Amino acid sequence: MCNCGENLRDQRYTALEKTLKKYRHTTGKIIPVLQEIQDIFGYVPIEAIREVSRELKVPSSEIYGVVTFYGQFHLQARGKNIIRVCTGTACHVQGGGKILEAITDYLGLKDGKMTSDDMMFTLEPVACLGACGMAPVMMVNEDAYGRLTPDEVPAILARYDENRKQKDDEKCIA
Amino acid sequence: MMLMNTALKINYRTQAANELAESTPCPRSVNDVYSLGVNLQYCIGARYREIAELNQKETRSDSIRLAEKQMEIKKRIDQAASHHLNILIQHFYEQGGPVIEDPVSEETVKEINPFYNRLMSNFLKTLDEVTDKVRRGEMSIGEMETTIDRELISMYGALGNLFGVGEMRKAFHDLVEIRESLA
Repeated sequence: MCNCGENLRDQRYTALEKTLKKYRHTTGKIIPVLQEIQDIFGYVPIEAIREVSRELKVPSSEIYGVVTFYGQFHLQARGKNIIRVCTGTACHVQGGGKILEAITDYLGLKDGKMTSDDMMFTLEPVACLGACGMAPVMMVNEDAYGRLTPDEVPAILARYDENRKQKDDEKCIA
Repeated sequence: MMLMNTALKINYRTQAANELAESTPCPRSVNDVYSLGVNLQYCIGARYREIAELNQKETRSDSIRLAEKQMEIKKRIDQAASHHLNILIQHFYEQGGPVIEDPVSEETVKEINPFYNRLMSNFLKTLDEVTDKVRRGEMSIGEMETTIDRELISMYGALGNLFGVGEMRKAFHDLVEIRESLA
């Protein structure tokens, strides 16, 4: 099998076709369809919206409206690890802004970009993580980190950064 | 299940003194002081836990009780930290949302750091020594408790004196008060 990603792409689109076949002409099932699509692709691609529109006989604008209304759907590919940073008042007054800065610096995110180039991380500032007593707080996937200082951010993210680990291992071997 | 970790991911396991010293930077804010207090409580609790795991008749129940007491103190420190946070939020809203800077500058921290490191490592060394003595049966668990309490309170006092900022001193004073109130 080649490693160019073509086969993977085909598999995903085959899965999409199966999903659409299952829900064909069922106009009231937009959300389950979109959930399945997001499971397949990791996000909801624009082409998939067009396909859903055609198969379910629902206008694209309506599907787009649903995708953008619910926080669970994403229109862009997301990184392997999701970093949620609390930007609520409690975290803000305890230096949450500096935590956010430390993360964007580590990931090299610029100009509003939220996913790192290597697709390892996606940064999501959120309104509250419900741990104000531990402010400032961030979550990486399901792990929550409280009472953070900006200095601690690189070491925490490095634990989830497989590319970096691999590079470090290569250095060790060299 | 969601895991709630401190930034240092310290849990109830024993942590090498050096590792703790390295991972606990010199505090720059009141929140950092309380964080330091919480981390030390985990560290001390772990030592009592270690003694409990030796399964010696004379020390087991006392060391378990003392380990639980450390968590009780930790809970009080958390409450003090939340109280401080509420004051900060109130100030934030009353002043129309100003940027709240850390009360201790990076330059000051650089000056204080050598003294802070020395005080911390001395305390952690003492912690290692007393744990070893109790393990070897050269010290009772009661003596261990008295020594740790005395050294910790003395360290908090000394650390508080390093900072010219009133609120930092007060935070260290709070740590002493909490510990003494549960003595």
